Amino acid sequence: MILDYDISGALFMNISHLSNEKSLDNIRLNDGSNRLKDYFDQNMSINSLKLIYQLNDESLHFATLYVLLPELKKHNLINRLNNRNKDAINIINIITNSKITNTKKALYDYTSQSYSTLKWIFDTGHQEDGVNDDYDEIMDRVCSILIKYYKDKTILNTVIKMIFNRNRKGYYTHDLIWALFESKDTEILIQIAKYIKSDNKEDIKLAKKLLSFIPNIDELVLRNQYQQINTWLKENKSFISFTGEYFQQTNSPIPYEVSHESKYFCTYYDNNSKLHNKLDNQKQKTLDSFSNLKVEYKELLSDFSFRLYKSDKSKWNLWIELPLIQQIYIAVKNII
Amino acid sequence: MISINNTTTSIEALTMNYPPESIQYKVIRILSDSQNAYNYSSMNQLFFEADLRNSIITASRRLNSSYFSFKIFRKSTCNTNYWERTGEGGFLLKKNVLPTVAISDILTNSSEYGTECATAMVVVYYLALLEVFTEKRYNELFTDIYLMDWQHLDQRIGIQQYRYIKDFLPGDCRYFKNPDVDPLVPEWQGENTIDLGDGTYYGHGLGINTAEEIVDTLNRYRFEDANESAYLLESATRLNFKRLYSLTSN
Repeated sequence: MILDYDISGALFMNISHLSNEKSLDNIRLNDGSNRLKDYFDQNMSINSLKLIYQLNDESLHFATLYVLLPELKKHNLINRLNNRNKDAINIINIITNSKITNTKKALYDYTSQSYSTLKWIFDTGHQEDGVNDDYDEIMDRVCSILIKYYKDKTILNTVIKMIFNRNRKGYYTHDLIWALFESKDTEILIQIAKYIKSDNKEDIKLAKKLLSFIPNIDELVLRNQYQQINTWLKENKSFISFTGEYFQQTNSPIPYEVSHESKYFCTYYDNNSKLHNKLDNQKQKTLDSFSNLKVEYKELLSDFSFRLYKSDKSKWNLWIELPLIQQIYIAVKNII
Repeated sequence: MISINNTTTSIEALTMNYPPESIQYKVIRILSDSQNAYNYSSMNQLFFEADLRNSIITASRRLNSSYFSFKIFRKSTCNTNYWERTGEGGFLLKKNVLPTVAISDILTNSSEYGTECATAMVVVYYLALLEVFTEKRYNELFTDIYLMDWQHLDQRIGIQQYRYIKDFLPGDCRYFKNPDVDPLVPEWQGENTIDLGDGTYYGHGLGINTAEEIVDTLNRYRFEDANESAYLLESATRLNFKRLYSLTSN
């Protein structure tokens, strides 16, 4: 048995290798939260040190700490926890205190290793998502802080699964969808589109709603044209811009839209940098004229430009230098 | 410009029944002064829209004066005699409850209700529709009310967002967006409001304020080092007034 101290001075040990020891996580998962609390209460008087060891074990799951929080307070044990657990409890307090509204200040004031603790909460806690409203609210906020504040994209695929799982059960999804889209990441759209193939009607309905900006999505779903949806996304994802529209704002939000300007110039869309600044003087003038075209001409030229760029870049270089009227003529006739 | 059945009609003829300080007068005036052409099949169709816009504003003011509170969806509350609170925090009309009774109860027993601003806008609309439909017709039409957000508004109401428009009218729902909201308080990501037609807006939880005051409040909930201010979108959410007019009679 290896005993050690973490930087807070709290005693901990790694007991995950002790196969004959029933961990707190196992008790919760096999026997339920109430049995875990009973076990904890009963063993407090017998061997409180062992319980602290188990709580401070590196393999502990967040949900176990969460379930035992009232007991920890009751037995005045919080000071004996390691930094990770203390930080996690402080993060719960930050999230549930409606008067705290400043993430940066709160994390600075109340935590010592906020990012790793948030990640631990998420990594070990997401599987219990849907247990109850209070727990889900913590998961919502942890996700939004990780995505919006820490720009962590490693959790996005799991967040998508959480959203669809909750949706199947009729649980609240708005804040999680909001956090997901705040990543401004276009790869998530490919992941969402996979739910179009689901056997579950609620999955398909939600996927359609989230991808409603794809032209003719209803018809494509109706005809099981998943491949076409995927192709559209793959073709356009580099040129998709994030609009910031959500369900809170309108009945038919358009969270993403294709930037015809970016597609026309075959330049990746970047939420943080204007296309104008990436172009030389001549192309800037062309952009100004292009921006004044009707939407149907923008679509025509951007689609044609993209196809030509992919098939023959030297021809594209010639075509893009032509006056817009000639570009339109060539695109309509498809004669290059 | 307003035309009735494709014939341009003078503002005097259209406003003669309304005092100049009324909401209806303001609505018709804005439509009439606009460079856009607004066509109505009859004067009554236009008057219906003007009256319903007035009812939207009246409902907003009444809701603002009530004890109807702001609560996030997870903590939302309702009178369970009439409504079933769903897993996502919405309120579903119970079977065998009259829609008119349940909707009116939100004002009568307002302290029992608490929810977010998007639901409040939906409540405003259902309250306003009480004023323009007979009780019988209302109960025939709106039998499956689910108060949650825009998604669940009865399709016959025909809610639609109009983007990049020039004319804004009293009774429009306008959205104040807060793009740099702190991730701890996503409920402050924006505020749905009703344009009250006098330079102020009703926003659930915020009360009645000018646009500048709403922007100032939202800005207080931005993350530290934020560089983008909250702002009023150049769009409006509106009911399908013409369709609703067609539903007033069987």
